[in-house]
Amino acid sequence: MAQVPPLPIGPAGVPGAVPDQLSVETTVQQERDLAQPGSAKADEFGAAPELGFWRLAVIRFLHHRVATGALIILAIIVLSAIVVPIITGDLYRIQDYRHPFKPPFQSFQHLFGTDDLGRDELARLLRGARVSIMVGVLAVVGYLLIGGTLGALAGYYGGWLDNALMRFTDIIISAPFLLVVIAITAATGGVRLTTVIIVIAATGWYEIGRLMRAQFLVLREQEFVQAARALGASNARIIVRHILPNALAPIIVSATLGVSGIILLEAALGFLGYSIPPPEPSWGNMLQNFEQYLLDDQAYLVVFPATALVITALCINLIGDGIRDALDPRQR
Amino acid sequence: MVAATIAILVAACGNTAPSSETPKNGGTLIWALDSDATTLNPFVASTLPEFRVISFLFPNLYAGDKNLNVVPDLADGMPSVSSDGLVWTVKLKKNAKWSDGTPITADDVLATQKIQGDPKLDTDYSYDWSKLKTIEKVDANTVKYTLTQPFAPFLASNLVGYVAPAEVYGKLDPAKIRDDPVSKAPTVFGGAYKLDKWIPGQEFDLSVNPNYYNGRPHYDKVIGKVITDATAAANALINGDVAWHPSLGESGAGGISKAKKSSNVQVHTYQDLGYIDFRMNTRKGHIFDNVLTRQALASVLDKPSIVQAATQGAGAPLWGDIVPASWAYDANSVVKYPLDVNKAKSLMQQAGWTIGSDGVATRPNPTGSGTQKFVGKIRVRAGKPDRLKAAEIISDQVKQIGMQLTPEPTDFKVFYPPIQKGQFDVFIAGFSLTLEPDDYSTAHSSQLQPEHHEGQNWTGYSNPQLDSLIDQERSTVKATDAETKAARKAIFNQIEKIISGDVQTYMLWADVSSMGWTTNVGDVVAGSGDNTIYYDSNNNPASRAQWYSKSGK
Repeated sequence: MAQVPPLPIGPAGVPGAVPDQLSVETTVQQERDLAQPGSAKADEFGAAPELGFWRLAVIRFLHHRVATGALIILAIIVLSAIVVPIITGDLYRIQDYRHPFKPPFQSFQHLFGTDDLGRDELARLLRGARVSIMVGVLAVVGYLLIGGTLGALAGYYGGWLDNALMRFTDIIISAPFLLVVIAITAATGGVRLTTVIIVIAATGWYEIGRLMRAQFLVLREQEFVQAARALGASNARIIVRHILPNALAPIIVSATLGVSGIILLEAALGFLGYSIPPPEPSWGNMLQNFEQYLLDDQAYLVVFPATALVITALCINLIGDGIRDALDPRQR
Repeated sequence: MVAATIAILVAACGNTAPSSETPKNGGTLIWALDSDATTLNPFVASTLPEFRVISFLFPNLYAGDKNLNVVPDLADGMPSVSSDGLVWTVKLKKNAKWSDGTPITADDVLATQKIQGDPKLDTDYSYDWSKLKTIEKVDANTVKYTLTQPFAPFLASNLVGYVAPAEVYGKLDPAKIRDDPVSKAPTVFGGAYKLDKWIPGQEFDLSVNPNYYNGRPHYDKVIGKVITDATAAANALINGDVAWHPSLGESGAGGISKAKKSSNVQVHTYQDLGYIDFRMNTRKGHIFDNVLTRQALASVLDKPSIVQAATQGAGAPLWGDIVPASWAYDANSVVKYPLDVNKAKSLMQQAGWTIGSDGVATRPNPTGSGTQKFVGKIRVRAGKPDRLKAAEIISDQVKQIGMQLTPEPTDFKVFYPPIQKGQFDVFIAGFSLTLEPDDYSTAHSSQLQPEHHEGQNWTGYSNPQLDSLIDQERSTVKATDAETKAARKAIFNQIEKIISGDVQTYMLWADVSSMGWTTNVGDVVAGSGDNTIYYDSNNNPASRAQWYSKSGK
């Protein structure tokens, strides 16, 4: 594991363990140990630096005050988005359409007021958070699966495969996103959350794909990869066990920032009426009538979802920045 | 006596600010259009902004007045109709001239009809001259139409409309008329104004037509500015950047109330000829195939409060398919279903539906074995928040009687094809009447689509009694327009009773529109349906020629 530099502390209490001087034999041993995680040997030697790297990153991240603060706020948002709707149940869809637009902060029953159909705004906001965050996270998982796989294959094997996959990426980049959404909506006969997630994932993975390819292009030429190959490790093993862990840092940053991008994208789609259908709320479709509300003194119906959107996206971006700083090898 | 006179005066003026000054010539009227035109060729035009610009440029044979009555414009008096209702004779004003100084004659009327009736005409608008047998020029100012059968809608559907100069358009090939340069830059005008220039996407510059047959309009220039954003257009009116905004209602309740608060703006709110309804597929085997089921739906919905919540006051609850703005409307002729949940439940039972443990109604499958669940989708056009709100409320309310209907917002481009194939449960759509209230195309069984090739009776509803009433109403032609209307209205009342009683379609609301103008514009007489619908139904340019600028600017 030559690429991992010496660390000041090791998890097994071996400060300054220096893996640089490992002989070929130890590397082979290390290979075997890695195959059997949990063995004593692995704890002492081989895996120690790797664990240390991530642990160090965590420590560095926690020292980043802004990022930690953002993480706490985001955790609160995510937790309440998960827990509160379970408690309040159908509250988000219970209408009182004869008495809509109850103003916010007037009663505990409707702390954030009610919307145009008399539904509790707070319950909708949290339910909407669920949709927005779920779309963000699942679509990024899609990015990682599609972009990660294709990028890794293109970068590792190179040649005609790389060429073909990169041309395919070019096609995806030039696909007009909104038209694709409308076309798929038309073809599947209506908007569904799964459609939205799939479309976003299928059209937005190229950034991670290119990043992954670039990482693999660099890493496949490194000595440790050549060593693994010389030792007879299979391509799959080299990709998954050797290159991937080392390529992860920029991917994690990109994926984190991708989540906020997708949340905003979903909001834009919802605003245009191409996201999850009613009565299910998302922050985007809650903003759908915003112009009318702004003119109509019901500005709180704009302010709440917009603020939630901004805060969430900002928190995720700050966390992404924090992770980037924590994982940046130059800052060591 | 004096008080009574004042009262009558005020009542007669309606929305007009009684002006003490005499109108003067001069100034520029700047007004807002919500989108650009694609053509200024009257034969090709099909959108509201296009018709709005064209109404300044071309004369109308007949037009609609502020109460939506048909009145003569280029025609000299109402048409005289033969006692058998087959021969309609129209006289033209003798001194009418085109902008190039040549007289407007019967030849122009004949040429216009010939192009409109040409099956090869390349247009998005539908012209129906199928009831016309012959059209003849009696003399330079008299046209005689002979019909194949007595046809009452002929006046409002065929005689209300523009006349184009034969000299220019008569020479064109109707199949290629759309791409002719004259479609972008008309050369000869007969309306109150002439086109100076059209800056695509921005504005239409018009200047006064001194030859206008109704007398010189007061404004020297008219500039139509394209402002696509509804809020921006409302603000432009409030700031005085535009002096007239015919579709202020598009900016929503917020924009209207903001305009009303401004001391520089006058707002006129009125019911127009559009309506929104909840149109069910009543074909055998579909969930709404039984009249009792549809009546149950009507009984479980509290229409006035649904309409209020969905439109914020921009809609008036409606029960039949004739809107209150129409002369054929009679509030007492319709069957209303007040909110009565228990009645709705028992109607569902009578229709054979039982509510299961999951809260969803089921019945034995009428077209096969097994059972059918009351599950369906409400198609709504995306980007129409008032309709979507109505769909959401209805979807929530009908759960009480075991109906599971899910709103499904759909893009306009893909909205109609499944409906035209009869593959839908329910859709919420907007329809617009013209000056002619005839509901042949949406209710007569000969207009069933897809069963017959064309027509707009997508519900699948077919009722011989209704068919014969519609046939009867269409063929009732008396000597005068007033007599014809009186006779037809009695038949319309029976038609409305059937449509509302059978819930052929569940009507939601009649559109309420708003237009606004600045206080600098004098002598605006605002009525029903002004400028909200296609100009052949309304949008009387003659009345707009009376407007003037108080400041002279």
